[in-house]
Amino acid sequence: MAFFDFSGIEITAICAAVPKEEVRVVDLNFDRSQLEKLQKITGVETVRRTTPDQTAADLGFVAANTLIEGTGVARESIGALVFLSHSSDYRRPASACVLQHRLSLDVDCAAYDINLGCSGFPYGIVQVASLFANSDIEHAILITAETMTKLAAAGDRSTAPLFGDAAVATLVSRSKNESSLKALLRTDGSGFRSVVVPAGGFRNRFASRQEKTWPDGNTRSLHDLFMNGPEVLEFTLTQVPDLVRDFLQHTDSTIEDFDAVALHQANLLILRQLARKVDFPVEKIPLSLRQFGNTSSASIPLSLCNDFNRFGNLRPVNVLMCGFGVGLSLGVASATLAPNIFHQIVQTSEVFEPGMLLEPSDFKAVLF
Amino acid sequence: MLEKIIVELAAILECDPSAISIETEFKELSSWDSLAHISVITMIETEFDILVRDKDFDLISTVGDLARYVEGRE
Repeated sequence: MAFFDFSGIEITAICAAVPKEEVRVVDLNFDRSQLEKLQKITGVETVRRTTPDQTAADLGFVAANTLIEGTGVARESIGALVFLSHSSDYRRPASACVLQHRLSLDVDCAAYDINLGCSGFPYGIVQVASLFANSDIEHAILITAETMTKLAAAGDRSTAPLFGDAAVATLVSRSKNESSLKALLRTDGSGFRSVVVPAGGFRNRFASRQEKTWPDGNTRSLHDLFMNGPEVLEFTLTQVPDLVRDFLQHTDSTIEDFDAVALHQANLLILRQLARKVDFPVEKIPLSLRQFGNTSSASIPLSLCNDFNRFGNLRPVNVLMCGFGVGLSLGVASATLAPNIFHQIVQTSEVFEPGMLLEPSDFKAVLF
Repeated sequence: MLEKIIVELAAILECDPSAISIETEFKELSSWDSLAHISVITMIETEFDILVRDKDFDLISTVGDLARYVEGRE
């Protein structure tokens, strides 16, 4: 069992950044009545879309920089920066390395990427918390970021009206408080085909970008996101309730011990079914789905930023956080969060201009 | 149970329940799509507490097949 139990470490700040452009789902280029029907099921009314040059790292930079400025944490005290995303700026180097530079963090900072999606927040928290165990690190930043709108083909009714772009920076700090973080992580890679972008990696390097009509009736290329809704639904409704039940049993807790159950914002139908199956009121789920859509690894902390006041305006609350999806991968984590750790959601169109390496002439001449 | 399935199916497929019978091959109807697929799976789960596996659902054609499947799993 991949169960984790950390003490003396706590989440001390969370800051989200979203693109400025807001897209109404009903304005997308599909049949209007179908979109309205879809909207009732998914619960997504608007999503945020990055500009063509704006990346997940750009959003992550703004989220992390706002977090650093807002908390006053010294940049040189940040000992680790983990960027968790499927949408890195380059095939190499890791986006975390570029972000270490952009955020003016000290060279005494471990920076690397993790390649995960919807399950990413519990994984990222475990990864960052683990860094404290055998180090002198005082603070670490986890950035969970995704630009799903760049992967959802315009002609794909199963993805385009569902996904949005966002990034969230989470500050994890060594603490003298009696804080604890617990997590349980799982993987079922037999479902790797269920949510996949088939091209763009090294498996099919020369895949065509030509759009075709796929067996599900949607139009996309091999470089676009494919999602098999019924397979994902089956995975979610079988494995996620089991994960949560096993976590509760292992930690000798009940779902009633948690004030909020922050679920990955897959869609409203899935959230309702999970609440029914795990047996808790749907009102316990912090939401960001309606305004921001499914934002992959950003969705759990974004929902907390967006909706936390409903749970604990003045007091710390116990939060269960559960991510699930592409991989297929799933994880659950618990933490006690104070209301003053959340920052206002920032809107940005900032692009890292020095990172635009578009032509050979963008590189300095080096003679060999 | 059959009556319940027909009423719920009609709501999902936006048609009158009288247009659906035990022989109706509901996946062949013009309003059938992936959204309807997911809605039917969650409807069966909510109403009967049975999760229809994707591989089983592929073998179901008619409303009668669906009702028999639910009956067999209850």
